[in-house]
Amino acid sequence: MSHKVDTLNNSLTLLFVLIFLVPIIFIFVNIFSDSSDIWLHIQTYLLEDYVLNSLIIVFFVAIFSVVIGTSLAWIVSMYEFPGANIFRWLLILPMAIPTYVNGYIYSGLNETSGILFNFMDYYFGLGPYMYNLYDLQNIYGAIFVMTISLYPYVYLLCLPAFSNHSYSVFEVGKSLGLNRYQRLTMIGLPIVRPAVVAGVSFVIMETLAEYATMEYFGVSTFATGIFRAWFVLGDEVSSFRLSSMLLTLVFFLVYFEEISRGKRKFNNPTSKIYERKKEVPKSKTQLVALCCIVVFFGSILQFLQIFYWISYSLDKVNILFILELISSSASIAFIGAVIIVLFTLNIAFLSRMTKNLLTRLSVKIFSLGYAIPGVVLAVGVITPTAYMENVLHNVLNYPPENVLSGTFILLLISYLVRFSTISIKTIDSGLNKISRSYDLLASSFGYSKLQTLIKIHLPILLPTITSATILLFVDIVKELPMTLILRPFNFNTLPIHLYELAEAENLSSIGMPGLILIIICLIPVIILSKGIMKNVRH
Amino acid sequence: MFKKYIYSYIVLPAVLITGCMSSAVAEEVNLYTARKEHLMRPLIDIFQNETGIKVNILTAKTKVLIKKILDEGENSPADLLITVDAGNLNDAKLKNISQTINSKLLNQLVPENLRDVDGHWYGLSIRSRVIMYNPTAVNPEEIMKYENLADDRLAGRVCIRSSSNIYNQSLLASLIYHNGEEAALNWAKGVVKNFSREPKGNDRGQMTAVVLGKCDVTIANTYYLGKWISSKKESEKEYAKQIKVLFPNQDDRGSHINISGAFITKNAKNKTNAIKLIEFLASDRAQEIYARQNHEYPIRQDIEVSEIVKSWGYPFKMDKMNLTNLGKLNERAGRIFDIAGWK
Repeated sequence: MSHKVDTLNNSLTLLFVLIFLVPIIFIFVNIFSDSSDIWLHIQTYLLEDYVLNSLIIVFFVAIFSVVIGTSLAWIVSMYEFPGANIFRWLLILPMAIPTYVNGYIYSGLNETSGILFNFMDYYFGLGPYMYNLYDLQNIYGAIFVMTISLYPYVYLLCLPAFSNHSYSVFEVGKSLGLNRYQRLTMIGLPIVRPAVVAGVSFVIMETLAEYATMEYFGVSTFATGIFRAWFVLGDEVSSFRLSSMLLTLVFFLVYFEEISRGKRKFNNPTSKIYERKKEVPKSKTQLVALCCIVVFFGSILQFLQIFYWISYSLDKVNILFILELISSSASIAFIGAVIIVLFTLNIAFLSRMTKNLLTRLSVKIFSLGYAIPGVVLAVGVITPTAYMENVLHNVLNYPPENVLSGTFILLLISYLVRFSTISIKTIDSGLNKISRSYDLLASSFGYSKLQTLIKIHLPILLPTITSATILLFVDIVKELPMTLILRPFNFNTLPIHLYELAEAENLSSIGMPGLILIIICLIPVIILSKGIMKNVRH
Repeated sequence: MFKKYIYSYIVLPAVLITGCMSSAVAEEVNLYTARKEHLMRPLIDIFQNETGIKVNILTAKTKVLIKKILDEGENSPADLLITVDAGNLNDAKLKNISQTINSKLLNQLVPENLRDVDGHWYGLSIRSRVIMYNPTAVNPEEIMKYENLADDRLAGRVCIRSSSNIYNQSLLASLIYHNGEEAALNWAKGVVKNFSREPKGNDRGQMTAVVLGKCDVTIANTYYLGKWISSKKESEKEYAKQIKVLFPNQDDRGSHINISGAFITKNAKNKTNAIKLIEFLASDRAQEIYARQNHEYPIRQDIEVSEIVKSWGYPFKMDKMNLTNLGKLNERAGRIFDIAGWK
């Protein structure tokens, strides 16, 4: 029986590896088709913009995120100043605000329903002046909004590295006569390097994949270009070519991160807990001011604007409709998260048990999914599916309706491909921490593999599984481009509603649904940061 | 144990998935629409109540929906598509995803110039794309034609939304039709030179920019002003007073008009119901509700327009060009915009 389960499992794994690879292979194979007239047009007039804008944005967002993320992590973990513990937490908050929501809020600030506009107008009569003073909907604005939304990833990963690792190391440095600056550059930075690389590669992937913000800001990047080539110019081949360029870029990045991490480990040499003695900075006010500024622009301003919008358009809020959006967003995210967790648990477990090449390889492959931008994935999923369905239809004259296109199944498959990464990494590393002697012991008791999984691994893994589910839930809840392109009839989610409101320039109605989305995303951020903070010595 | 395994890995997710899919209803029609749901809702509700036909809606941008229908091929669930702009409607016909509608009633309800010659699509409302300006900064004599927007004297005073917007594509298509491709390119280049800012936002955004002094002249669809005038917000009502509508080219070909309309997909499975829905939307009752609610122009002159719409001047001289041409020239227009650097 166990053999049967293995075969079934192996074939399931193979099937999913195929599902995973089809869109990617499809995209790359298609670049060999003939150049269309439209591709020439794109090449002549648009491609330069896509390439330059994407690279410029990625470059600056990466630099700024690293500078802001690492220096804040350094400050809150090394120095003693009023409110340091609160700031440590507040600085993570922007993670809960989806990038596009941040984009809508920031461009709304000095619009007519904006808090800045109305404040200046009401008290000083300077509304029109405010309106004309600056314009954020350009490449600089995009860089700003992406940075303010994404720096927490670098910050959060650097925090434990700075705080735990190395207190003893810093003490040694101090005793050897290094000054503060030297301690930062000679000890601090090398130690956080792996954390920074991991954080920044995540930031870069998110930036390259960002569709809604770029479109709203009118900045042409690869993501918007792929969408435009596919839907506006109606040329798949061009869209696949752009996708393949973007994917190559992203995979190169993943590879770079992988080799840069190498086999080095930066373990704390001692597990002895030192009494934490923070340094007293030269100027406490400077540090407090710096943290205040980032917190203000990172989350306080957003909440002010959101609440202002809510008060501005309270009479127009359709509670029933919003409840419907919440329930559809939550159910698809929940179902998606559960399926992905079950699936990755299966793969990770198999890979532990059987150690065959296929399963080991599949763990690697599935951890690439997140690197594929949503727009690319959606585009890579539609055509092969339609092709397959048409073949089915023509050859068998069955089924009468589409099996996958425009169904939740296709949407869930896309989620699976993109978001498996999140849970496979967590669950795989969780499983690896469980000693193999448990497995041996279990098999000596005569447990089957499944029994071992259920009775031994699952209880130990439960916290890991829970946090993976929560992370997945949030990522799906705020997912926009794939849901937008692949969703079935009568199905709207909070992000789609926000996207449509912003598209109609109806920013003032964003308040309520936006706030709800932020609150949903806030829950895991709190749980996650608690987990990380627990490892941070105070 | 094996069963349990199967259950937890396959059956449970499957149940969850099917559980959230809507179950089949006997009488239904599947509508793809690019019109905002809250505009369609009141009419759809009346239709559902009166006919008992359930209308399933999927909203998205037109291009996305057309591409979807193409990709879905023979199995497309869509029965009909309601969208704005003759360019879009004709695009569907050219891509061979629409079919002829044989309805005497519709031919009677929809005037000939507002429907496809082969009966592939039918117009359901008229909109006019006009010049709006700040009366304290602009002499209307200077902007009597669309062509004037490229004049040097308007340097740094014009704002118009992005060229990815189909309303602009259709306007440029009409200029290509009337003045030729080269003149249209020069016009687009001239307007780009006159921009006071890079294109951003929608028509309402441009009107706001005029009111708040970012620019003096813009092009917008009239109903946006209607929304301002009838707004509950004092600020928007106030803005509406500070901007004026000008119907361009009244002395020659007339102002550029366009339609919102519908077509039935080639592989529609509920064709009869789809025709019923279009017929309902073209009926007097729906036309009245729609024209009044959205400040658009009804497809027949005998239907009352709202007082607000009347106040801008109705009837006015409309460009009589066959709207099919917009669709034909649409792609050219898109490329000219790219060449002219109109983002």
